[in-house]
Amino acid sequence: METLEIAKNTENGILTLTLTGRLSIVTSPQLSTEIDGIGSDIQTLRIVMAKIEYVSSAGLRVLVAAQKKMSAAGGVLEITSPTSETLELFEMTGLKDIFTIK
Amino acid sequence: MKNNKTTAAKRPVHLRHIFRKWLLFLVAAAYIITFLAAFITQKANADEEARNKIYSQLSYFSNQITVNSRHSFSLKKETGEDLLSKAWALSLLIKSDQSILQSRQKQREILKKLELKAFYITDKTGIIKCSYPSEYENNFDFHHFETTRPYLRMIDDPSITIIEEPRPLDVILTKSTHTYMQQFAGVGRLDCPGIVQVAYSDQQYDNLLNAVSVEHLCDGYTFGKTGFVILLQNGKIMSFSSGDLKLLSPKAIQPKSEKSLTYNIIYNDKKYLAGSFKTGTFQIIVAQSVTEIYSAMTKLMIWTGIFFFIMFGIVFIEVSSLLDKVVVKNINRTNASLKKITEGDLNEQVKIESNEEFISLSNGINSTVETLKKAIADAAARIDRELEFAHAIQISALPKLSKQYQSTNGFDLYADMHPAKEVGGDFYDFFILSNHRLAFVIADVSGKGIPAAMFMMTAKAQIRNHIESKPTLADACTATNKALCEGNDAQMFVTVFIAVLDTETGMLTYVNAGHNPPLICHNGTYSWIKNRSGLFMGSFNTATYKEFTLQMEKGDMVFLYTDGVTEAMDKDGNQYGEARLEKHLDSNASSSANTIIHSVYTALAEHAGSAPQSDDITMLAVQFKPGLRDHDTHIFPAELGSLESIQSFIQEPLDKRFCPEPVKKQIAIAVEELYVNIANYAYNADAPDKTAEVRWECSENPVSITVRLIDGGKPFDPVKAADPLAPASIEEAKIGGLGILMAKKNTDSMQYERKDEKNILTFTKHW
Repeated sequence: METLEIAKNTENGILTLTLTGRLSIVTSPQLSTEIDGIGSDIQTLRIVMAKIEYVSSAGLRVLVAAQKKMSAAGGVLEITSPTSETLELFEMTGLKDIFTIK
Repeated sequence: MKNNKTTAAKRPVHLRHIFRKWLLFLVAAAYIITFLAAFITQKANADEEARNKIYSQLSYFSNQITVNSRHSFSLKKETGEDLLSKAWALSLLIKSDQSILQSRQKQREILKKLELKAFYITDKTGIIKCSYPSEYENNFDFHHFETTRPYLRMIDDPSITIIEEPRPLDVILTKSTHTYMQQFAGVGRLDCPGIVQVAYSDQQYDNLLNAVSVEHLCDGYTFGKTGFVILLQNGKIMSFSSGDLKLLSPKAIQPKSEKSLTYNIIYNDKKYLAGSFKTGTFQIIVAQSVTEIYSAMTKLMIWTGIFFFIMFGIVFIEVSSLLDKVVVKNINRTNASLKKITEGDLNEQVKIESNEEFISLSNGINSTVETLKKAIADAAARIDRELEFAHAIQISALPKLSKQYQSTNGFDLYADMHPAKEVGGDFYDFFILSNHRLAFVIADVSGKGIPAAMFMMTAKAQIRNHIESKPTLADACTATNKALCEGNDAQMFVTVFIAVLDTETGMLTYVNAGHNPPLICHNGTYSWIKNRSGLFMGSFNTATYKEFTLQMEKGDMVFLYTDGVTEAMDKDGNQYGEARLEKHLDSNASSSANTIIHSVYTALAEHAGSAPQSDDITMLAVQFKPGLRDHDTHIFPAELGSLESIQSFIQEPLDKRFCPEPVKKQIAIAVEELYVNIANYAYNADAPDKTAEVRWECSENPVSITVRLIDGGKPFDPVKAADPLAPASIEEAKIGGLGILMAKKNTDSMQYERKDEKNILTFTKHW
């Protein structure tokens, strides 16, 4: 099943979105909606991807959009604990050097 | 063959026989007529000739009678007068010399000199006183005899003289009595009253008299071989030329009437033609035997008959052989040719050029046959085209036996149809339904040719439609029947066996609508599936159908066939039959679907031998072979909403093959990227049929999956599309093209093909 759970946690201007599930063309609109709703008070967007088991180009597209949005607002996007597979994907697509991965 | 009875009753007569019969009749009639004419002419001739002969004989004899009478009279007169003068001389001598009466010497001399036979001298008493020879002296009285009595008058009147007619006198010579003619004459005695009688007799005179006598005119006369002459005087037979007088009666030989000159008499039991002529007191009858009269004619007629027979025989043979040659032979030749033509050899030509009539007949027949040939060729060509067309429809209606249906997907299916020369209307069908179900159908449409083929197409389409759309097979059949009844003007119908096999569980659901019962093989033995669901389809629109189920075990085989199998006939008309079929299947129980169908067909061909195939022979066999599916195909709408279904469609075989999670994700990514691409870009918004076919195939060694995505959209080759460069900054980062890159990177190989207006993208992933 194409599911994605997003857990939100805002603390000291840091929004942490903890993702669980799959980030595919089916589910990525969910994440996209969350990101669209981020206000200017958020300086840092932290996306925890430890529990993301699947990322497609649609997911990447949302991540890139988030990156662009945060950069434009002078903020920061942190992608934390991606799985080796996700990391491999970033590397494959050349996004590894663009994203801030922790 | 139907004419047998009439031919037995009355055989038709050959022309030759009719000709011959009539010709023989005519020739025989001509022969008889000619022969009769010849006979009549010949007979008339013979009669005429016979009459002429008789007349000439009569005339000859009448002449002879006249001549002889005259001669006889002259002779008698001359000799009589001569004798009388001798009597006078003797009377004178006696008067002058009385001694003569006593002297024998003188008497002898006188007798010799006067050439007399004898003389007799009487006195006035009439008694002979002196005679030479002397035996009558003194013992012969002239009074005593009729012949001598007239002499007595001379005694008183010496002027009287008598000359007698010559008459026969018996003279005893030595031992035999001989009759001589003797003539007597007498005068009175000059010396005294008395009689001087002299007798004259001489052999020569006798002969002379005889020669001129009428009485013996016809003695010893021969008239032909058997003819005779009769002389009558005063109705008394005087002379008969030959034969026995006793056999003749004077009455019987007289003519019956005065009118006819000739008449028939019977003598010695033989028939004679006679003629009669009377002259004075005489009558001459001349007769000739009829046998002799006609003997020449009989001979002539025999030879004429033989000659005519040969001549007419030759005419008959010649004319009949001419008829044979000119007419019968040519008619027979024409008939022989016509027989060949009616037996089907239209290349036969009648070639008879012997005469105008037969040339015309030959030409007529030949041109008729030519026209017929052309008409037949035209009709045959039309029928051939129709048959070809119907055949093409029938063949095109059959699904292709791709690899998909053989030894895979939980079943082994094989089907085969051998159409008869004329399309029989059999068909089979099979197709995959959702949820691993296989539908298969065998059917036999009534009728032949294009209408049957069209009805078959309809039936096939209706069955497919309704099986897909109706909840149960029974409903599908009821609906199909109803649809087929509509507008079925040709009153056709179809017997159908439809089954749906769940290829995972082996559950077989089937409906038998009037079709031959199929067989199922379980544990090496075939048995009949005799359940009946309802009537054949297409005739009764209210018919309903009942479905049955059957649990197939691994390896079980269902064998479907049409009546072309059980009703295949050998040259003696014996059908192959259900018993032979069951026996054959049983002895080949371990064969695969393909093998069993071919072996049944071989058995049918052996059974039929030289007998022609009269109906389509169609068979379909399905063996249940549950196992890992190694491929599957599904068609999805080309929209994002289908993605989840597609992912689970692809994931299922991967799960069953224990594919590692990372690999599964890589495959999923490739599927998503490629499919999203199709859903978003392949079709224009207004394209009519926006679908994508997804097919997977797994192989065991090396373990891999090959996925194929087929869409009918704009041509696009993702494999050739340039990979995006790694972006230097986030501003440069573009998402376009990333998806395809990810698909490529996550798979082991990827190929693109544009075929039949379709984009075909295939990738393979090993693990």
